[in-house]
Amino acid sequence: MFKLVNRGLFALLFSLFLLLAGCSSEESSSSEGSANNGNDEQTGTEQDTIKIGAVLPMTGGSAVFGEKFEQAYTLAIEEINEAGGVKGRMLELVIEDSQEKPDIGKTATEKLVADEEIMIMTGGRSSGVTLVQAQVAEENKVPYIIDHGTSDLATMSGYEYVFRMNPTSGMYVTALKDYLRKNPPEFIVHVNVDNAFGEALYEYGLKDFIAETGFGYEQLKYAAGELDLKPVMETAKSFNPDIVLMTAGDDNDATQLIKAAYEVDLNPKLFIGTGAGHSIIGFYEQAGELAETVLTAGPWHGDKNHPDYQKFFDKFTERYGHEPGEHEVEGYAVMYVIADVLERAENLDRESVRKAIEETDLYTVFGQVKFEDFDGYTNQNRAVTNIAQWINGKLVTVYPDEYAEQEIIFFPGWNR
Amino acid sequence: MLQTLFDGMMIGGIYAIIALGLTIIFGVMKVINMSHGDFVMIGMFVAYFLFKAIGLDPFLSMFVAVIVCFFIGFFLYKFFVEKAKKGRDENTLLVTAGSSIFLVNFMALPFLLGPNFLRMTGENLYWENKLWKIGGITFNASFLMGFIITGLLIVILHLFLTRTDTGLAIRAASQEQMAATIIGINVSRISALTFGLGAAFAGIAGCVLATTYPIYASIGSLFLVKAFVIVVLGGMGSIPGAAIGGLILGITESFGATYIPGGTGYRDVFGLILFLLILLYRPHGLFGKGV
Repeated sequence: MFKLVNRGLFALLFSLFLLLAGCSSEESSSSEGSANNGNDEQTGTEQDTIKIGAVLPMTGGSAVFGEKFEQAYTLAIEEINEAGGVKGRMLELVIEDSQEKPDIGKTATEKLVADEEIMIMTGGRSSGVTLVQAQVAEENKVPYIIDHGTSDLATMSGYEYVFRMNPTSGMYVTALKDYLRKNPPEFIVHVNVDNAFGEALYEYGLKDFIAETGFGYEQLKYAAGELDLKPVMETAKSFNPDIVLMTAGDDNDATQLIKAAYEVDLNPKLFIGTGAGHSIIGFYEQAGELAETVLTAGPWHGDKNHPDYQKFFDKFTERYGHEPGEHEVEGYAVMYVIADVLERAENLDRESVRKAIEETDLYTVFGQVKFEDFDGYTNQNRAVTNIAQWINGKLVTVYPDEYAEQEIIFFPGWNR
Repeated sequence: MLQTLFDGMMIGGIYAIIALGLTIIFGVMKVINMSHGDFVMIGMFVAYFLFKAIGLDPFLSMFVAVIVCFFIGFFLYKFFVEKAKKGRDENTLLVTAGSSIFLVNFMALPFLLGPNFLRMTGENLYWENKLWKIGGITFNASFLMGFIITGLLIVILHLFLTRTDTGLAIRAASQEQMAATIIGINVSRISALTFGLGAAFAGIAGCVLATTYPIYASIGSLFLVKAFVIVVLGGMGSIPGAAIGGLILGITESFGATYIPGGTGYRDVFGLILFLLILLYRPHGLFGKGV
């Protein structure tokens, strides 16, 4: 009896395996072709397309971010292709999965650079993957525009083929430092994630600032993905800080941090995240009311009143059923930067593309994009940073004053 | 300090439920179940799914999670682990590790958990950010319930193992399989039953954890490591060892992370140091039988 059931079970598992394999290959080809879905009549043969490579976390715990970029890239490429493409050719997106792991990200990048039809790369997402993608891009002389990864080293290593549109980790806190100079705190506790992002944010963004201003400061590290963060927040509470600065690589860590702060009844004047996990809607969706009045210091994501931004916002929201945030704005903008670069490139080869990137000066939904050398950075866009605050489930810009939609609301306490 | 102690006990209680499952499987079959953490994930998924679908409270979903995890565990043993047991010892390790990879990837399919973080939230979720203050100590209400359930489960498990025929058969099989077979116990069935029972314990822990932690396909690996530490700490196969080991691990982690300077980033390290010390100085664990 069991033998029969056994055989049946193996047959079932084998069928399931084939089904999964089918799903997976379907998924892979659809993600590669997603940018020209619906434009098959226009795309024609492969020679008629210009390939753009992107390394993104499409599976694993960070897949949510890969999906955001994929949606943004796809929307932008569809718009560009509908408007006639670039030099009469359609753009084609090729995504390779990094699982947000640097070693897998390296292999994924090597696969992309080996495809000679790929003219330019973007993506990377995390600091760790972005760093290895930058190294492989430089070694293989493939132009790479970083659109989200923040590790400062990627644009501090003198690379010629690596450009960055978004601010670096160190630059994330530029607006925050300005705010703190004007509103000196008594004591800051910085709950910092123990990875490349957290390290770069402190090393290039805060270390000199703290030394220079002499503000009371204590850094408490935690491991990314740690579930029980109460001990960290309990320790933070013992310093009686008026500002609790929180660095979280994703919305999961950001949520666990604020939940822990609630449980230990930590009541500073301000909870301030440093972009990333604190600046995406997933944070509010997971933390709910606990996220109210939490601030986030990071990249400014364009002028929300600009007609181009509103057009993008409406179209994206209608298409995907959720509002675009930090990642989507960056992903959408970088595709327009790439289209502009390809259009201006003298020839469609990697060297000409690199030269065209150097000449970029384009207004996008992310703001102005121009790659410059300054303060030890090379090929770095002077991206604007701001402070935004979660108010009624929306991120509202509260600093600097020129972009502020309203004044900062101080944390009212948990009132448990 | 008292707050830290209770925080450690609460999380330790959840660790204990997971470790109880792992230790009874090891006690009876001498099999280290590498997919044990994934049953915690399945329990979390069941709680999440039932809450989203019909608004069922996760503590009621436990009954469903127990059945689901039990049957998956039962059949996993019957069709795979039992066959692997006929070969070398490491075969069962490989089979359960393979099952873990399969379960993680299967649950990550878009129509199940998908590749993203999910979280149980909603106005009708009583346990969301629910705190109970008792005598100046603040408790995460869900974890306190989990702690109480751990106590109840230990009593029920003890009664089951000492007062029922099946429980006595499990104990007999764990002590001497050949003799148990001779006196008419179906060791194969008892082993499958125990494997399912162990998986069901993990499912119960999953329902408690789902109220507070994110839910994603690979979360089980976090709990598997902790369960191993506890089982070694308490003594492999020892039920009181798993319960007390869970509490010791939870308290060690909480105190280490809170009071050791710079310890906040090394929470897991304290548990692993404890693991190494036990292996060095008391390899059979606190309650295990010496070799």
